[in-house]
Amino acid sequence: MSELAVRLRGLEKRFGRRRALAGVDLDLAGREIVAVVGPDGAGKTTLLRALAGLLEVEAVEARVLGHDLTGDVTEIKRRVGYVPQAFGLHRDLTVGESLRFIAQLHRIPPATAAARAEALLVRTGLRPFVDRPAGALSGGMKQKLAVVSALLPEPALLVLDEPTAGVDVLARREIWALLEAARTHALVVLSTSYVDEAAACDRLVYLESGRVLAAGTPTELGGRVPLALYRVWGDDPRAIAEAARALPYAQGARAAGRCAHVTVWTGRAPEAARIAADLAGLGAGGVRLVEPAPLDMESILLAFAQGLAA
Amino acid sequence: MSAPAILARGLTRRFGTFTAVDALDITVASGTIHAFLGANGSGKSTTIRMLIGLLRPTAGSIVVDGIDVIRHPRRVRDRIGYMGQRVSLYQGLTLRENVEFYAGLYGIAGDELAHRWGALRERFDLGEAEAERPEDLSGGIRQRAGLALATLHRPRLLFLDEPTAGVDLHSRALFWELIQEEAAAGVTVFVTTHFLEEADYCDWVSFIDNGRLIADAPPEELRRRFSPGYRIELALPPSARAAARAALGGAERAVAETADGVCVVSPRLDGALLAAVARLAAAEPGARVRVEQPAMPEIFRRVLAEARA
Amino acid sequence: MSWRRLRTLVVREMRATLRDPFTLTILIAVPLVALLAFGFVLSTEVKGLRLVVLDGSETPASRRLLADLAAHGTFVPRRVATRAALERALVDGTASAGLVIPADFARTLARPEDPRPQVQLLYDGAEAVLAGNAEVYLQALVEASGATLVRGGPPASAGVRVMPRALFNPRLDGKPFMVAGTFGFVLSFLTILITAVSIVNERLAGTFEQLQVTPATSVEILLGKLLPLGAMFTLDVVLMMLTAGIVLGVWPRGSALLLVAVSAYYVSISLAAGLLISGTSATANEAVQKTVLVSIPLVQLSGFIFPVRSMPAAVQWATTLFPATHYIALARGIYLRAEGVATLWPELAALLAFGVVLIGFALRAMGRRP
Repeated sequence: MSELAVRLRGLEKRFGRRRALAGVDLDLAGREIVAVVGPDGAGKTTLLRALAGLLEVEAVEARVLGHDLTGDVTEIKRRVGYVPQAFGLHRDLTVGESLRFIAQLHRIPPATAAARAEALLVRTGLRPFVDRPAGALSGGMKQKLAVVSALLPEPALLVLDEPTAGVDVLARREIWALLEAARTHALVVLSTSYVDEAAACDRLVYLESGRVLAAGTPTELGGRVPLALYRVWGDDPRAIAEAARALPYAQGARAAGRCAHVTVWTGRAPEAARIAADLAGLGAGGVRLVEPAPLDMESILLAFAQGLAA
Repeated sequence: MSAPAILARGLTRRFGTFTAVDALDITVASGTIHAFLGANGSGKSTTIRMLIGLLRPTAGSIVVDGIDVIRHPRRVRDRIGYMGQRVSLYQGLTLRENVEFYAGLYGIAGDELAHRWGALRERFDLGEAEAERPEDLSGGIRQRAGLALATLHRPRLLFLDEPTAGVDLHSRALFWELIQEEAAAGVTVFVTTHFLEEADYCDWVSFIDNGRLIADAPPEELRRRFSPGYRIELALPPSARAAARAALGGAERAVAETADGVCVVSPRLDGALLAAVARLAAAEPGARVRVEQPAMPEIFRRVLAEARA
Repeated sequence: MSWRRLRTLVVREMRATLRDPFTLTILIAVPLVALLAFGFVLSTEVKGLRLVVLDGSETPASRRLLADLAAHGTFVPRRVATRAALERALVDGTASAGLVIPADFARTLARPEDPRPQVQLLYDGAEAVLAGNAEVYLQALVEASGATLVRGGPPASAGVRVMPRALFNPRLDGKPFMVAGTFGFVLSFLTILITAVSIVNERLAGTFEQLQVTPATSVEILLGKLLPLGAMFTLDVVLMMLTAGIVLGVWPRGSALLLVAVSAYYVSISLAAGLLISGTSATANEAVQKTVLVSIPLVQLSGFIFPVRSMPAAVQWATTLFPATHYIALARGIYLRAEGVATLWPELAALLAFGVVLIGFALRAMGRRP
């Protein structure tokens, strides 16, 4: 895919008086997994639905897979697979029937469809359940079925809205494996509130109040945050975190497991040994080791959420 | 040792032929944060609703703060605060009016109410939201307001059902800070969530799958049992490596040399090990330390895989 | 039970309701619109009925009868010359009923020892409703003039089918009849519907659960919801009474206070029914469906539109099983005939019994835990 799969300039969407998308500029090339993140109500679902050709939008330019979003979207829909937040498949159809139905809608030749479905079902562990009604599947399996249904027509663009929300951790891994496999021949765009998934993607799009605040690889995004992270290991991480917040160069501190994540302003912070001394001086929580660490995804996202990013 | 704040034995709940919760044993120590993890549909909400007396168990016993919840469900109500999955702020009333409403139900009024709400408003950063209606507030603020309301009557136990679901990361982090403050003040907090990394904020974790308890231990112990352990890499010049290996070796630890230095893998991260690493790093200019803490999602994947096998 | 907690709950419910324009509109507009619709448009009054008259006698006596007929505006008589013309008018619809005054009308009137003259009434079967009422009125007028009214068959050539009388209002007091009936309809259907849906919605939104964890008891929580509803509907009764009086000119001839009191009690019965329906409904849709299911026989069998008297005996007995039947009878008694407790006590007793049973069930349902 040489051309840009997604090219948006000034994309806007209003619902009544509310502007869900207030001028989105975005360039996405193919064969990547892109995570759209941001606070509640930022416009993530709206953006995803717009990309899938489900909304009428206004834009200076809005091209998805070479087609114009503001024009006739029939062609787009043929090449986009969309997995909404709520389970959108028919509960009475069995797994097999659902896939045959999708195949017919997309006019996939039956033999091809059967072969593809078989491969996907085996890969996701759904094969034993092929005759079970979709409504009787567990949450994780429903989601897997939804993703499989979207992948059946081999779309060039796969759009998923919180595909792993509330799903058990094993199924989440399996769905992610599906997405990684899909990435070999498609652009995958998803929204997620799981930090580890945001960290695993190729590119992030941080959305806030209907605008793109930042778009880039996790490293690029990290570069825009004027913070450094120190993981402080000790006996009582919560006490350490509380003490660390009092330091003049600290932006924040959080206890997580056996360490306290202390974020400091890069402009003001001294080196690790000095920080250790400062913390030990406060007599807090038995500090043993101060480890400078690259900004993790959680700290990056938190920084963006707090408006600290450049 | 004081009596546990929550003690449930053989807790079971069936809906027709479907067993939502299957013979759970739960013990929650006073003043701790107890995480109850599991996927949607695993039985989390059913369990928490039984613990607070909203739902009668099919079998089993529940004692909360010394009260038999099954026989006397109403007696616990003064002592517990609850935040359900749908935060129940009434639409059509401002936040302040919601506060007055709940206060009225608990018998808090006048100066006492003003005092308490003033403090909560400050701590939870709800000053600007006070005169707004819930439908006009963001998800994160509504969650904080829900927690504030749950603590208004100073309960000794807090039951929070997926309080961070649908809430942005920043609010989630703030929320956990608030919960940790409550625990520090002696409140027992029982929290359900499907964000596994939040287990690290808690003192104890119970993990439920298809109605059964498949893990029940502090996060550190789960790390010890279900992961290869902590991995500490110390980049050192070759001259210092042998000494480092000697210093770091010990029971349960595996020390090895790597391309840049030394690496030690240990199921437990005890103070002595950390101190040793710190000393070595300080002694050698240009030494670099990297500590890898096994992530909770990965740990729970193993727990689940083992349980289902 | 704590009165302070109950007060807190009631105040909240009232605040939320008064600030919700949608609910307020439904609570106030629907009863008033129903009142005006039923009382104004649908009241089975007889007015301007087109009557063709074949006056075979052409005497002062017959002309006086015709003048009487025209006098009240109930009928608009038009004279025709032949029987054929009369039948034609009936068939092609230019008249709803036809009157044939016999040639010997005046003669037989003058001789009291002879059998009374027979004035024949023919009507278009399709207009059975109005014709039924008209017939009685006509009968009264004709008998006042000394003759008897005889019903004639349909015109021989017409192929008009005679339809059984569907509506019957022997006293021809259409508006007050319907107004009083509307009270019953609104306080049954609308009250049950809004109560059931409102409770189901609260349960689904999770706010009930949140309340159940507070010291408030289930009874307090539900009363906190039902008392404001009850107050609103009782207010509706007063509003409907005033509207009926001001707009339709229909005031209760009996004690308005008694009507309000009885209505308030009936409202509580409907609230109980709404509560019971909400308890068995998983969604608001289900609650609506069940309410409608219950309300259809209620409309058919309570005497609201179709008179109980004209039903088969077994069905008449069945109508007494609906509290609505008794309430509507009470309302009509107070509105139309200025009846009081002395004459209405059977219906009052029936309503009381129903209330005790339904409210009893409701209270038990409130206290139960899932």
